Amino acid sequence: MRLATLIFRRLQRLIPVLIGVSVVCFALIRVLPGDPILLIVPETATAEDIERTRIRYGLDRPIVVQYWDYMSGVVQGDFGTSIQTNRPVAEEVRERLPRTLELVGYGFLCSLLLALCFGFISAYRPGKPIDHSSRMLALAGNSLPEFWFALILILVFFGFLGWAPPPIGRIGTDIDIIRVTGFMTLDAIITGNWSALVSALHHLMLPVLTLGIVAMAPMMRTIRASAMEVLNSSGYRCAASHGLSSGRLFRNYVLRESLVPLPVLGGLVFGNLIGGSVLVEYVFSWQGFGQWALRGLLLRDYPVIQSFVLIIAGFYVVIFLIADVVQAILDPRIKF
Amino acid sequence: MNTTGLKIDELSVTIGGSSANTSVLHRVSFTVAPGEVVGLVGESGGGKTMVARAITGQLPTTAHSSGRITIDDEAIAGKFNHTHSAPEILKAALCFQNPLTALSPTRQIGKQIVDRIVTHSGVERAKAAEQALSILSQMGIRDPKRRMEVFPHELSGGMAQRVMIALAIACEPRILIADEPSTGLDVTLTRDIMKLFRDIADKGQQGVLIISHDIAAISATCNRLMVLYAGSLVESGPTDYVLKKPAHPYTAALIDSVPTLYHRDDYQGPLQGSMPQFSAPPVACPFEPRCSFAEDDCRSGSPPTRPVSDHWTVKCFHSESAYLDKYDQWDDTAVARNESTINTNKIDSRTKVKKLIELQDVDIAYRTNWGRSSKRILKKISVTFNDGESVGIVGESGCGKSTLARAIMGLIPPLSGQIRFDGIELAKQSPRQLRLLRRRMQLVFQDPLDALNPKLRVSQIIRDPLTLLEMTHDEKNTSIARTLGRVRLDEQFSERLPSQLSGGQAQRVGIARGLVIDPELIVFDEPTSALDVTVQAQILGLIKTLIADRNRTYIFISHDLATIKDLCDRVVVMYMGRIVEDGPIELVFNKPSHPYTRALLGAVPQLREETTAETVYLKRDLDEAATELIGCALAPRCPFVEDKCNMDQALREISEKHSVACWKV
Repeated sequence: MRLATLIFRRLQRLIPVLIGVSVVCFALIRVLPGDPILLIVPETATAEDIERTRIRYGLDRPIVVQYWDYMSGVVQGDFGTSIQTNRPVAEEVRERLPRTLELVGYGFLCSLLLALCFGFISAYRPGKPIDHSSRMLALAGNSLPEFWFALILILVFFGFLGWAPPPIGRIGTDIDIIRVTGFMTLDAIITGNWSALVSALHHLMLPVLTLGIVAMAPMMRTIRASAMEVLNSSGYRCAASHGLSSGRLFRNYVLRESLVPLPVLGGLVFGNLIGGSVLVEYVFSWQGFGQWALRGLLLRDYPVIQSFVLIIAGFYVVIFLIADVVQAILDPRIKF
Repeated sequence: MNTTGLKIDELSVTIGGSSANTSVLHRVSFTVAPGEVVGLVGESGGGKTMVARAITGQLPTTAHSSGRITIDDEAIAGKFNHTHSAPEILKAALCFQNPLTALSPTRQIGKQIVDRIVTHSGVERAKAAEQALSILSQMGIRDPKRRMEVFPHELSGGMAQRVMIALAIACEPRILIADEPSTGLDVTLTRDIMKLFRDIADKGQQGVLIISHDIAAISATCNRLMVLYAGSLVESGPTDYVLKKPAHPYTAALIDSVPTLYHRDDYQGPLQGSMPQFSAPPVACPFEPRCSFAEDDCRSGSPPTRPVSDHWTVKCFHSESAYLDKYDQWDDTAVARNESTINTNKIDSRTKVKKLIELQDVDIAYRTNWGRSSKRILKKISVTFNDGESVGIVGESGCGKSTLARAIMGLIPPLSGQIRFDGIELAKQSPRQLRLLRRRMQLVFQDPLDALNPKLRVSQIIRDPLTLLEMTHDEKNTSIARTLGRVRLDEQFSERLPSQLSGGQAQRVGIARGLVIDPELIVFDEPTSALDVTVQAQILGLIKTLIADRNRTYIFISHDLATIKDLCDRVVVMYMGRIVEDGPIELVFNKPSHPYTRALLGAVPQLREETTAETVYLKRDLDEAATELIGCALAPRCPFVEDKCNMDQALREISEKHSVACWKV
């Protein structure tokens, strides 16, 4: 009941957020210098040709009409047509988005797992070598550029050790896979294609590890701090003084309470990863959503940029909704 | 099994690293036998909690301890051990202070109890759940099945304390230790909780050690009392003896500092000074600097612990001197004499009666985030405070008395109704006009250290309200100096920061800040409840001298009837957002009319049992559901309840200046 009201209230907020984001984005990209039409017409084109092309893409009309046109398409699932590739944007999104979501999803899980392990270990042994070294690792991951880190991993695990596959694409070139959802590992499981699953996971190994280590630091620090707070709380000291075993203390009196601040931060980290995984995608030739949006931005491909911003905004709202729900489940004291 | 109970032998504890040591306990020895309830009393900083932590193996990692603690002849390790895992029999279980924070917030209380039962008796969870149910109902919790599923933040203070005791009981300890179990509880609830401890000791043949600063609250329950002062056990003996004829001067001062409804005639006034801190075990008597019986030997050597009679010991050189004799004269006639004086000196027959503050049908509710108003805090409050009057507002915590004070100060706008200050309606004033009006009224806060800006020096803090007035710099300085003198603070304090003040000094600064602009109204919001008893007595004494100045109105908010008795002309009793009784203090105290007032008076802990009013016992705890009831709010708990109580009870006058909200009166 408590959760139902929360979800309902948040979903009510989704629509105005998306409208606001689309308006701002629509206006802002048209302020940016650079004309997409000039980038696609041949160099020999006359002023007349250019004007004709502009009319073909509807860019001659007033901006309000363009916006209305675009948004009424979006409502029906039509995100417009890319000026560069001349393909429907929706189709490109369907192709690109799962690639990035798969990478970011596993990357986030990886960083969450690392953060949980190191965070709790550090909190239980503050000031000990394991505490210092895990904090060093987190600091390094946070401060080193991710593309550089990715290159080092490739150098070591592909170049020297040969454990990792070459950093080109998501799956071995010799493996056929039937596309169902676009999520490589999910498709492999659905179709029972085990060699494809192994190959996909193998290709995911290095980029996921990169994202995992890069995104781990803030979450680890939060867990460490909040677990230490719980370990010093009178609630924990009371339970401990009543002789409960350390396993029971951790499971019942430390874990849940320590995780309370995590969902909000986790949502932020996850949202950042979706929009910010582009460098890692480049290094591993992932052909993902971020890469696609970056190219769109460089070429002033209006429909691509608009759709990217809109989708990312939608993701943020949904992610924060999930984060709030998880937090409300963890902490019974939270009221709405 | 061997059942000798708890035995502590020469326990000393020092805390700190290489540079700053604090010696917290000095060779403390005592026993707690099974079936016995023993009270360990003393002011904060005396080392009481450290005793509890030593017994339950929770000394801080920087502590060094010596001496021997045994329970049923088995030794206890002093240090806290993070990793003990095997289910073992817990010898001593501690009920933590402030149970609302000491209960783990993210686990249902039923599960917390079951965890303890499973650990210590090794039964299945399902069976443990049944046991937990029976423990909860044994603790006096209604509807225990539903409460099992509840999270700690959903509990009221009294309920949380019961759950905390249930947790400790579920560990099946040989010794139960309760750290400040009465903190934050109202007098009526405290009495119930204390009765629980008595029952536990009587039935379970467990020893109970109650640690408290509140000697009055626990004395009725305890077989024996032990007094701890600055880390030394200064007196230990059967409760009756210790209370009637305290052998140690500190014990006597502690008992005298407790605000009671009836004071002895030979009351010597508050104890001056404050408790010392030691970096090494003291070589002299730790109480010597504050003791009026101290002689040279007290300064040169530490007094031995000597027996006064059987089971009664004292750590003092001079306990048999002239000091003890005056307690022999203490008798019941003092009460009678006291009563006769009340009636003569209190009523002030001044002719002009000007209404300073008027509240008319005031409703106040705090709003929730979503704009819907939550339950009303104050309901149809109509009350008048006259110029020059000093009025006490009493009631349990949560009854709305602080809200009433804030409404009078114009800090909270009423939902409906009018609040007038000197004929001016507060709600209709602009923020600027309100600010000007505040020159004429001041609030003294509950927790002094919390209410003073830690970055400002004392003189700056007191200067702050003066910015409301147009004054030259020199005029300000003289009025600051004069005010410091009035609250009896030395000039040297003016350059100190709040962190360099003790609790009592900080509250003096708080009072000085209220006094400096010479307002027409001063509201004291529980000015002593955050202070230790001897300091509390000092502050009450100070306020009493201030109140003698009849040129302004004083409103004094307290949960404790005894503290206001000496200070106020009139008392307003509140219950759940309503005024239930309002009348001159001597009438209300001698002839309380509303059942709630009678219960409140009866529940004031009396050290020497002199309650005159026929005591009323209220039923059950405060139930949250009752807040939205129509009719008398007390009805669910009132022993005299009848059908007619379902009607709204308006305040009506039963004699001159005395009104009561009960149709039966």
